[in-house]
Amino acid sequence: MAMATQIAREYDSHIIGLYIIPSAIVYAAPYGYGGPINFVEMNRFYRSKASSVEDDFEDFIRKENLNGEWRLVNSLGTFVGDGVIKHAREADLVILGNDNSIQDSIEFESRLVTEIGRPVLIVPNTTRSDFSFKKVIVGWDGSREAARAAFDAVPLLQMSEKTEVTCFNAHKEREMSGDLPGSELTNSLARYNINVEMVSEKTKTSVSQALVDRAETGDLLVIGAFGHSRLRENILGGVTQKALKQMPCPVLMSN
Amino acid sequence: MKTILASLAHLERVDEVLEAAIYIARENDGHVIGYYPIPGPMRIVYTAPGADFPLDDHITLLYEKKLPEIKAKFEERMQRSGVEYEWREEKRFEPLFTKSILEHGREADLIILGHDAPGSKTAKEEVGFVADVVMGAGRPVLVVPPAGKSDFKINKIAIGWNASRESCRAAFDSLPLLEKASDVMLAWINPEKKLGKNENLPGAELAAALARHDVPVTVKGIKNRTSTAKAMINMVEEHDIDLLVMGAYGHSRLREQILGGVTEHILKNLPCPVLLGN
Repeated sequence: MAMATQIAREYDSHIIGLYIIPSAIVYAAPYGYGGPINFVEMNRFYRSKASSVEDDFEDFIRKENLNGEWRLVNSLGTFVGDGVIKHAREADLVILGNDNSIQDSIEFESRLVTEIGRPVLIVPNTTRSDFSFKKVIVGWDGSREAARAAFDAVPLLQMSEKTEVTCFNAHKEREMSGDLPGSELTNSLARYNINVEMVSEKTKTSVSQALVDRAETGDLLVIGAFGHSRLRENILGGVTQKALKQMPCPVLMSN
Repeated sequence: MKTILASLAHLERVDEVLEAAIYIARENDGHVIGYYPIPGPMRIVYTAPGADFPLDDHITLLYEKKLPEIKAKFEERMQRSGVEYEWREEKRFEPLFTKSILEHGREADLIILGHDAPGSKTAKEEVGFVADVVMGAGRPVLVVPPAGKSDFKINKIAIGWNASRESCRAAFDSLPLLEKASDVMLAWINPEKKLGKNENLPGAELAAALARHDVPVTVKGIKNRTSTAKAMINMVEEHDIDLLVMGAYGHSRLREQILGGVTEHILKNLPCPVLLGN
């Protein structure tokens, strides 16, 4: 919520608090795995929490004097994400909390990011409420996804004091040519009055590690989410996965 | 939309592409890049034993010959319009334009492509090329048909919406244009197919989201028994639409991009300029 407030203040926006209750569908449990009880429990748990979360949300909106709306949805499937996707496609930005200790959470996020078609801002549970975007790191490799993310992030970049377009090992990327990768991107961003700087470096460690290390110096990391859809399961690329696992700062992802 | 990449690779559509680029740049205080790629020679496939691999360079030569003429036209028109501009010519190695336009387009807000007249012989290859650019760019692509009777303008916009990822992309990508339009129609063709009969306000949430950006939006559900593509073309003609915004659906089959039926049909018939998002 702290993050939503920052952005909403800047852009006079409308916050939708979306709370989804997963349904108590009874799954066929072939190996006796978990059994149907789990899902009923989950449904009950979310249901019992709903009103207290709603109160918190309403309090917050009132206290901060923002425009907001509470949406309570009973989802038809056990996957909460389907509900998020449906509502999020009609919004400018999606904000999610992240608990990086849970592998499930990464799968959930990867599926959301690749299917929503909107930028998703993932906030780690360590982010403090007095947070602000001072320095933003944009990961650039000349790809379609990176282009999406960079331009989707423009309103947030305009809030920042400084933006760094960061490119590692440009000479290895197939999709880029020229001596100064991303220099055109920095020009395009600068036309939005963003204080932007190009950083092109070589690294001997993996690109994902280098980018995560770099992100530790910033307040927001903007990256494209690479997904390979393997049957219905979405598998994220290495950089995306690493950023989500280590979560050095909030991450804006787009696909 | 501050940075507009106007692809001048379609030599017969230079005027139309520039007109669209100037219009949008004026509305958004933007910067137009006139991009003129010179394709590399085509290597002809092995023909007979012992034969060489000859290079077919007539296209390269044509683009080199046309360069001064197009550059002069570009500079003259841009100077007259008073829009900030930049000329970019580039000699490429590969004979196809896709890669060069992707490389430059990914670093711009909008890509403008010229398109063949409906029913022309090369329309099919052209559709494939547009598909490659739209799928690969990650940026919105405006496809401009041959000039009609009236000047290029964007007052009435229709958004083809069906709650999919792609149409959502297109709708939000076109926001800078929607904000300046006088009339925006959010059209959903046969919504009951996807939603079921119970939901009676398809796209209401999107309309609310757009209205928060001060877009003058109206929602319209259209029932149609013929194909979705035909219904969209009818809608464009009936309501005198200046710009159609829609998602481009594609499947990548190996490296070749294949468009969904609706997108392909629209591109083949191109009733008005179309903004595609993916």
